[in-house]
Amino acid sequence: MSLNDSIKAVREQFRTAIEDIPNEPSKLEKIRVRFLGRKGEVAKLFATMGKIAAEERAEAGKQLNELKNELQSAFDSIVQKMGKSSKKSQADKFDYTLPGLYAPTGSIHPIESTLNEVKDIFKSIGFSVAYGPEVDDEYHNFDALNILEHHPARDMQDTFFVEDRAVLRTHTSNVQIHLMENKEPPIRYIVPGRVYRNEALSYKSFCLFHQVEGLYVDKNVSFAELKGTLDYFVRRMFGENVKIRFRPSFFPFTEPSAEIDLWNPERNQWLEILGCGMVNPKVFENVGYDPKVWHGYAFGIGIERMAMLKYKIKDIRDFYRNDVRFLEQF
Amino acid sequence: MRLSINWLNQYVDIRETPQELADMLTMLGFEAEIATDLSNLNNVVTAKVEAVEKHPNADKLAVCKVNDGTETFNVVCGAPNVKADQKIVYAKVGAELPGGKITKAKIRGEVSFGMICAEDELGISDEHEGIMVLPDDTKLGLPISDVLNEKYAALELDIAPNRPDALSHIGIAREVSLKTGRKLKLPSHDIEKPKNITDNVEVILDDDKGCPRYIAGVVDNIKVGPSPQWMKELLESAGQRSINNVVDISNFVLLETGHPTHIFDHSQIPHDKILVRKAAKGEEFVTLDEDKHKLDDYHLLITDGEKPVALAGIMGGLGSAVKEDTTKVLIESAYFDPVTVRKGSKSLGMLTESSRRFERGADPEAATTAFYRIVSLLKEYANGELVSEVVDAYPNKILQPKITLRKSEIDLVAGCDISNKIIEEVMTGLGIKWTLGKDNSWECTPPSYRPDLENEIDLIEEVIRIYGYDNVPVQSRYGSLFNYTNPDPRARITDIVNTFAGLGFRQCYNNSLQAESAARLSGIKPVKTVNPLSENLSDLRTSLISGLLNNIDFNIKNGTNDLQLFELGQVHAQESKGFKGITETAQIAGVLYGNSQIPNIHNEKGAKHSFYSLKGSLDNFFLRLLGLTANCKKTEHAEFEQSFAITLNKTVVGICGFIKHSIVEDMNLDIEDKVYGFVLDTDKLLNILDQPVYYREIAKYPTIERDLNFVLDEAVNAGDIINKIIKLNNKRLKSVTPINIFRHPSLGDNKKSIVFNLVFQDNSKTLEDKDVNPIIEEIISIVKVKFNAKLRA
Repeated sequence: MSLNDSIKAVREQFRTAIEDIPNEPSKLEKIRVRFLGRKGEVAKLFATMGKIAAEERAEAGKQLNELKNELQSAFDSIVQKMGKSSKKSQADKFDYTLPGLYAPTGSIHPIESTLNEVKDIFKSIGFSVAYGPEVDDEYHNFDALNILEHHPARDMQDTFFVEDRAVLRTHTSNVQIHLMENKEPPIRYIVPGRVYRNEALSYKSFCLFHQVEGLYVDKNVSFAELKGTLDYFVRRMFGENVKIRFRPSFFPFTEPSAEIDLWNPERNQWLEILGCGMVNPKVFENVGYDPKVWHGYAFGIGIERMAMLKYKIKDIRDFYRNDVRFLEQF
Repeated sequence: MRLSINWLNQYVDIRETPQELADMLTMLGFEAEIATDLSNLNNVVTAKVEAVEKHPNADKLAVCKVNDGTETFNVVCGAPNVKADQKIVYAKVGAELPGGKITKAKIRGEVSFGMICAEDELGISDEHEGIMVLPDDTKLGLPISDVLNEKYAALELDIAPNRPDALSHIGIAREVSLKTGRKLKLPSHDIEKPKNITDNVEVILDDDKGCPRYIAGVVDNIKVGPSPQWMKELLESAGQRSINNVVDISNFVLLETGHPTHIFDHSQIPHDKILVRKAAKGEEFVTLDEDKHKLDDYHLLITDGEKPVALAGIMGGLGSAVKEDTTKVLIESAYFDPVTVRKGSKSLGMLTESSRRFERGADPEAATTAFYRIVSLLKEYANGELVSEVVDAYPNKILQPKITLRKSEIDLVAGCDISNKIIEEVMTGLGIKWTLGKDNSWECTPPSYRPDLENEIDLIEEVIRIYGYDNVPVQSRYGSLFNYTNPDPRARITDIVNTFAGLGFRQCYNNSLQAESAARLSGIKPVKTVNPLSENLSDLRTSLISGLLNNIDFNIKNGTNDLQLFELGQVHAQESKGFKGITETAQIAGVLYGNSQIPNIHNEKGAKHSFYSLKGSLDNFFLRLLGLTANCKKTEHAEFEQSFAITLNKTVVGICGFIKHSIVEDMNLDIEDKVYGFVLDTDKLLNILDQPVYYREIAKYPTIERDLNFVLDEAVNAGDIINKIIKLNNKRLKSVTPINIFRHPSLGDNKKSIVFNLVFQDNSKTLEDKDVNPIIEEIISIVKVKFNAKLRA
């Protein structure tokens, strides 16, 4: 069939179709789709253009456009004739207040998002991120960190033991040792991860929690810099105007050691939020860094504690129940 | 440690309120909380018991007439020690005590207006054996805080394990003196010389490593009786119950100086011989708490030459304690090796006031001070008389380290300039002996009571601590450091989490510790803790699936039945024996349960989760995150009933399917429907994620589609046909998608027909029928032959 014949045929069919002007908009729509739709009769004719010899293509295009315009205006005038009444009835049936189609809602666990927030803050000031094992030997978890077997400091953390007196790490500080054993200074890392404590479960303690360890070793690292870094972190995390203090404390692997307290105006008291200090030269000796040359600071941030403060969660066990009514709030 | 403020005040003037003192000590590194503060107790006053009558309806109760200076009240009291004419602490109706509010009450038919208080009811101590009796000259009707607060106000201190010296009132006084500049007033004691020598004490140190110093002396003519009121009050305010003058004196010196001593009843050491030796393996010993211990060869014993009388530095033996009729005692003031005491006390599970101090490092020089303090107190308050020469077995004097402290190092560590004047003041105040050294440095010798000061950094810490952490500037810029190699190897974890959350999954965090039975469900041998918290938390998880099943169960029980959950976490396996046999893997797992479409106004029936909703989620995940389409291949798995290995780029990255119901049953969970789930290897995904992604040019030419309808045996999987077609490796074939499945008897028994939609495209031209006809023919013939298929018209 030549193109001309095809055009004629389509025109005929369109006339037949609109002879009895349908009253229902849906029928009218069907006619529009059949002839003027994306895959309608007119479009099909356009699709054959490729097969037409190049010298005839311009003429064919012109004819097809005429057909398209003709059908379109005929169609439009029918729609107009149908008047506003039918449009209105269509609008009446549309109830925009009905709920949308269902799609399940996901959520990100508050520990994950808090962990990411902490990571992002430190990454933004030049810290890299490292990871390490949850099950480690006593040397990396304790001895190398100057937590000696026969010193009472060893009792500061209740420990789970597994075979060969290996331990479920009690802090992410074990990774400090792995890092320094494997890298030459200077280094600057944070280490997120899960840590374990053999403590009875209660609203304020769980048998595991998450930490972000920090370690910076360079030639001239000072306590003032440690204060600067952590002051920046706390203010980014909890707001520019929070009140904090650095309080002397004791950790065998840092000296001087400090804890940071955050003032809680609601409870009218200081809350301990993280521990830190200057890397003890004994730790440097254990990993083969020359303590005469290198100085450093380290810190450990409890993620659950951060999240509990941030979201005002009162019971640490809520994080591990995975109650959807809890999860959906984050 | 319980710090009595009144006691502290004996050695340094305390002008602060309890709260101010607590804050000062906290900022010095001794976390302090108020333990006793009576200033908030209203309606609690001094009063007098005018009469005590037996309660008509209860044998153990009394009805007392209590006069508060203006009125007399009926008060029912159950204390055995209540007597007429006593001055007591009276909590009136309306008083709020730490234990609750006092109201008018009827007790066995008798109306009681308030309460006569014991110490525990005021929060002074745990004492509840009787009511608190005040001195006879106490005036009536005074608020109790006026009378008792000065005596009983106390702080609870958390002392770090490196500061044994701070486990005493003098130790804390020294810190306050240094911080405030107020004078430290140490108690004086005489070096007593015996007048009549009746005893000759012999001390043999068989183990002078475990016991470097032992001082002993005998005191006779002791009269055991009550302690003086002031000592009772100081001990009580520090939370220590008064027992008798001799025992109290030992406790008093302990809390005053921090040095533990032991007072033996002389009948235990009748021959005045002390032999300090290691226990024999298996040797038995009964301590004064009547516990029988089987000892090892590292336990250190005090013996009378043969039989043991005390576990050195830990506890005396049964019978060694001073009794009511004791008249003669031997005083021990020793220095025991910290490690020896710690090993001993730890192995026996005996933490005592004495062992706590020795294991942290007592002061070898304080042994003398404590000894003579005891002798002089026994003389003054128990009629005691020294009747032997004082033997001081101290073969090798413990020397203090010499430390060079450099000004430059202080400034470098602190990050600021701390003046020489401050540094010298701090050292002097801490009792450090110093002389000026070369190049702006000091040659220092720390005092014997500070075993924690061994190195320069220990002194630097002290300087900065006393200078004040708050006075060190906040330095908010510093030299940067570039790390070129993989600054965060797991940075893209965030994308994985975000993608699952975006697909409607909720992230869970489960306990890594679980019951062995749960950890074994995966068929993997779990890592076991040797000292578990409980049987339910004994093993490390080997898979994330069991935790997620628990979460489904928990949420069903709490009213949520439609769940899509996922978790990222570490799992462990004990692959072979020992620490080296433990492996740790990062895993991602997810579960689908209940409806994928919750019934709603647009879709009244809703839709249940199925293998295809699981597969859809995973397809979506892989496409979104990696731009890859995963392949599933049937496999076997301990946790999945129907399990399919998921392959990406020819690497198996995980498994999916539905979870064996037997696991749900083994875990005793109330989950009825099928649980669909998946487990992915995080590191394999991260590896793929780390591959570079390159832009593919968008095709300029139109596609052309063909549908092929095959009649197939039921047993043939659509995926097999698709894989076969793809393997023909036709570059123009862009996709093969099954778009319709039809089953009808007319097709024949066990037959189905599947329509495959094939899309072709060429990068250099518009395809025409003739371009794809050959490949279509090839596909038809191969499918016909390989799958026993027929083309359906």
